[in-house]
Amino acid sequence: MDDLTREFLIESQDGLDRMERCLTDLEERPEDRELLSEIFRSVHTIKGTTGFLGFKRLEKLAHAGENLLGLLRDGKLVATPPIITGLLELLDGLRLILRSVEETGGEGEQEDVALIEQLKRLHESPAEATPASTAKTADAAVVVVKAEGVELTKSSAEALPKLPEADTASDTQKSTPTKMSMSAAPTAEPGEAQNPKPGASAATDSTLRVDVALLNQMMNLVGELVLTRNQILQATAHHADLTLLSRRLDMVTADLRESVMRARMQPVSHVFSKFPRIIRDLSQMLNRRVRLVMEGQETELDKSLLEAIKDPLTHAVRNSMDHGIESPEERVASGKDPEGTLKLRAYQESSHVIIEVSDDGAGIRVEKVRNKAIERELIAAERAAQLSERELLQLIFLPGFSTAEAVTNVSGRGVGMDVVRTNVEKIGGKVEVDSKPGMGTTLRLRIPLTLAIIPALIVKSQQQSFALPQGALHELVHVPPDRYEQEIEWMEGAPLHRLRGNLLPLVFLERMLKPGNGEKPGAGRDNFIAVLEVDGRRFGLVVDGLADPEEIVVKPLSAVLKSIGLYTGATVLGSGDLALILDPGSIAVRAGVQMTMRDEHVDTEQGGGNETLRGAEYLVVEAASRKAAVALSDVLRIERIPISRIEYIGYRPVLNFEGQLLPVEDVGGILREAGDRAVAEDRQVTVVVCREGNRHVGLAVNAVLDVAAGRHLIEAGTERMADGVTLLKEQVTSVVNLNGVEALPTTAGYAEEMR
Amino acid sequence: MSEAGSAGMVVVEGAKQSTWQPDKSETLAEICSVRLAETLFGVPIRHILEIVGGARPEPVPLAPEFVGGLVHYRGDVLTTVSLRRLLGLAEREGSQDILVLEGEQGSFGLLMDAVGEVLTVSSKSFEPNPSTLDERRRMLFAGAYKLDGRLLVMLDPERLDPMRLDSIKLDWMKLDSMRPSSAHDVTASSDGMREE
Repeated sequence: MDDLTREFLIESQDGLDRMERCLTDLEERPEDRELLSEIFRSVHTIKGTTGFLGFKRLEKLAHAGENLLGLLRDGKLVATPPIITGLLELLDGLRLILRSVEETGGEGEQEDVALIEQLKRLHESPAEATPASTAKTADAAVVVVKAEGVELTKSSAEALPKLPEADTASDTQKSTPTKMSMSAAPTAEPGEAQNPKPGASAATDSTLRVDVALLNQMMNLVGELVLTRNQILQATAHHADLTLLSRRLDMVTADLRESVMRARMQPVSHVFSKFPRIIRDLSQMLNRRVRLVMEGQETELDKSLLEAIKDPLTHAVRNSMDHGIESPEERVASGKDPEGTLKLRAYQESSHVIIEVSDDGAGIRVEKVRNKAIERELIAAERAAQLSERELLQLIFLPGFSTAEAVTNVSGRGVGMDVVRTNVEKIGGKVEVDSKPGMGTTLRLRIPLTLAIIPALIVKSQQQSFALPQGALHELVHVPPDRYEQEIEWMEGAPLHRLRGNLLPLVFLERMLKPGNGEKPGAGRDNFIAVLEVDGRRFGLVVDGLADPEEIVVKPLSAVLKSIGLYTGATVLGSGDLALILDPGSIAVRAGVQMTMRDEHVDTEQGGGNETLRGAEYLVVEAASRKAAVALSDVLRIERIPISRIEYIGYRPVLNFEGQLLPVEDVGGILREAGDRAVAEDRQVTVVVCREGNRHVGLAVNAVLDVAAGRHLIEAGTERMADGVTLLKEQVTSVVNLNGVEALPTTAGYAEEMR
Repeated sequence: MSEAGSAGMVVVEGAKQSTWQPDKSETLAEICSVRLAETLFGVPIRHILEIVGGARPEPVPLAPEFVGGLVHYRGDVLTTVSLRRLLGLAEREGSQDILVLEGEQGSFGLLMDAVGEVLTVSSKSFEPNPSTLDERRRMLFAGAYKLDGRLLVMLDPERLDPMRLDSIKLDWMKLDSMRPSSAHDVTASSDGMREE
């Protein structure tokens, strides 16, 4: 395929994507001239270029469509639903030929006579309805030219693309009477159609098409740079004269990485845009009335991830249409608006993009889920009876589960939610479901921003470092040597740990990597249990050491090592050492950890009853003999440091944390107290590093006590959510207000100096 | 090594045949000599992408026996093959030299004790593997050049490709099969491998 054709294909596909978006909008605003011009332009561009490249079939079809669109644009026809359906078919037809050109280089042999005829009929029908259809064809040319003249004076920009179209219109005699009869109708203000043109050309001037392979390579190189930077930062940490330079390198690298990552980002509208069409088709097929609401379409996501969520998202939307939203009759019967609402919402939440698919349909009835799961033998009846509602909801993610009474061709073949979950987890994401019978269902996909660089905890086993992706990591439990016997229990050779009363199966990493090690591995040394949850499997991975969390660059492994199955890749650590990236999913499978329905949070959340009262999880800390809570989602890490490392800018305590200044909030006055008494150098303090907006702050506390689910409290009488407090284990606990941590006074000046 | 194209192919083709068999008429070949334990080995330089010195490969638990570990190489992670392990020798302490070779699916590294000089040898001094050589070595070696006073044992990079080694997970990989075993063992014999 030559460059010209390739360029044409890309351009045309863009145009058709645009056309598809406009067409679905057009259904709501059939009079919108700007939309019509946009559609017209897409088809016109294709026709113009095809003539040039010699694609006759494409040209013919585009031409037929253009005639119809020309009439629509000039207001001589109104876009009725049959016309829109016809235009959608035209779109499919054009796409089909384009695909054939892409794959085979030729247009294919078929003729599109039927489609062309249909398009012709569409613009003839209104003509028959008007009395002027008897006008003589002989006058046609004159009238058309005249019409052009009028247009030229009104808007020269608009008339230019019209010229060839007018010529061809006079050739095809059948369409001319319509034109003529309608030309008397007043046309829209010329300014309207004129506007998009300069805007569009400006956009093409400032953008550039770049090969994805090149971007991937750049990403790879930036990854290298990040590694080198990490090494340099470690190597120069003790050289005062190099600190400035290495910090600058640090900043530039971070900026560069972000720019390259951004270059790979595309707005989710690329995926969302195909849903209006899907919803339209499905509504007709399933007899539903559905309004689609889309929010946050500008949210950006890495291109490869965008590709990866296309299918799960389509699945989720189909599910909502088929099982969620009821037929209009049913909806009216249950006192709802006959028109259902399907909402697609995307937003960014720190390093994740959340995509929600919510409907106001029937919701998921848990009894039905329970019965179906028992019927399909996915769960034993006795076991099902013990499950809470929330746990029962999770059953829909089991393979082979489907609640549709009948198998339709939309969904209900038993492949559904488990595929959604598998696909999303494959890219390091998570799926959550919330449903209320009669009110609707919300499916939440949590997608990481990028795949190439992931946060990971570096763990050690037998002196070797491994990277554990943080996506699966829930918490860490330290087992000192003297607590080994109590904390790690054995049930006939199977190690277990009691995590807040529940038994957690343990997997010793060293035993997995070197099978046949002694009876009780890890005795007599420090052990750390990394509580992991993946694919609904929850287990503790026991390692013998922890190092810092790091942002790691994933490097692929050779096929030979990939086939081992335990590693997803390798990475180079800041120290320059290589570390294998563990795959928590395969570790669970290899160790035989079963899917569990036991969701630990349920215990605390069940008591809440009312969903809206349920709060987030909190880290409970002790500061000066007082308990306080920090929202767990804000906590980045917890550091135990000697108090002498805290420095002061004026009166503000700060911490030089990984080469960056971290303002430290003295929550309970611990630092002040320590400073007063001039304590010994080796006194330790715990700093909880939190995320607040786009900055990081530290909280100085005595100790970290626990993680607990909190509940919101409602102020008596007002029914308003009380701010700043939460109910943790039936105790009212104050929540630390991170927002209140004062910004460093020198931050701006410091940044200036660095540049 | 950009010229590893056409000329290199000839050698590879030759290696696919029973044993290394250059033309009868004398040709000269440039061989990179490497040392492993007491033996002097040779790898045709046109197969070598790069020589990396002083590497400490990171072991990969549960990897096939022949994998010597991973090394960081030009932004990628390179799988290495340990000839010592293949030959049933003890692992060497300390750093090793790595020959980066082009494999079936990307490059791979060959761990060596030390890389020596490049020798120019004549095809006239070449001889195929002796029949008394144990079968494992017969599979890995491609014959030898007779140098003054010692032998230069040729390695065939294609046979050392981890993909290839992994696909024949056979008994011969076991270290206890070092004894010269019966030549009738079809799967393990070098003939069986060549006929693939």
